Amino acid sequence: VNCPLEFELLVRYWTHDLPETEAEAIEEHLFTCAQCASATARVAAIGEGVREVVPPVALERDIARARALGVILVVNDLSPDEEAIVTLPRGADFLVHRLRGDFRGTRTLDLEVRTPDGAVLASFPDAPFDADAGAALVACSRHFMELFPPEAQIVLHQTDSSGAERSATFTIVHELE
Amino acid sequence: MDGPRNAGLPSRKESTTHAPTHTCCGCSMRQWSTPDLRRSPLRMLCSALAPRIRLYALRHLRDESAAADITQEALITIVERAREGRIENPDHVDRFALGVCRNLVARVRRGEVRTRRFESAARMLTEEVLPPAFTRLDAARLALCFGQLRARDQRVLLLTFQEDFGADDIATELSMSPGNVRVVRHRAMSALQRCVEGAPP
Repeated sequence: VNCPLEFELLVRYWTHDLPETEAEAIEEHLFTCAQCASATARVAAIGEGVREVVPPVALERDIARARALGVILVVNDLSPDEEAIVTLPRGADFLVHRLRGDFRGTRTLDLEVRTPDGAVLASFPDAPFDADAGAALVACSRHFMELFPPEAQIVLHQTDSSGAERSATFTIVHELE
Repeated sequence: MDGPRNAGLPSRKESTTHAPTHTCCGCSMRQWSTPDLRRSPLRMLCSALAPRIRLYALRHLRDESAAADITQEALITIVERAREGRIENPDHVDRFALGVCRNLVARVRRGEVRTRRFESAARMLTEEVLPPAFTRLDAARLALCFGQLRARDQRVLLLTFQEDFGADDIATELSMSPGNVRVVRHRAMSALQRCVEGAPP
């Protein structure tokens, strides 16, 4: 085992993507090396965090999985260029904004969360979307609603395979019950 | 785990004449038999081993409460064996600890139920050094950082950690090569770690 263990090796170790003998050698090393054990713990923390994450821009399968795990979500169907007031009920974990649009032919979707005066609060380049369902899903957690101002605009920038771009804006006022 | 008693290990009477140093924590083991375990080098030993034991158990069992139980159980076993002078090579107590962990995890997988009477001083000691619950990242920050990854990179990580897909399965699902999946996966993990541990997203 070459110490310190390379990051890629730690990821492969943590994801059980190594031959058993190699994994066992790393295991033995981790019990003797504080530095590598600490580095592995950091990789583990990320991995275990991802295990529970609901992506802020999600797909239907992510939402279904979260529901199956007991996460309480409230879904709002929203159309572009209309202002919506949405309420996160007490006891719910997420508001999911199903942003409707025509995603046929869309190659990439970049998504921004802005204040009404245009300041960018968060950006999600190359975000996932469901072209067949004609929607991008934004999962807005209670934490986000504490981080961001209640009134926000979500701007979708779509680029098709020819490079043509178009945008759609959703203005959403968030309220906590 | 129940290895033979080792004549080379310091007995209680001999313990002041032989003081090997642990490779894992650097402490002397000469006070293994100190009546008050909370003041002994055993505490240092357990403090050094506990996070590694928990990490090992979490990787194998994917369950934090099971990992915490294994940590407690392993530390008690190590303390008891140490006090009894039954660790074969005290210079490599870390290897002994790994052996204990492997044994315990195998027993958990076989569904064996443990019904042990813990020696109270050992339990007190091990409870003191148990690491806090596994490092919890700020969920909102992690989500925001996660959202900044490319859609394909997000999918690779979600399939890896939420679906427990291996590289070959992910490659099939996303029409990539397994080698490419591994590259994407570790780069995405690295980017996520930098974002989570670094400046706000």
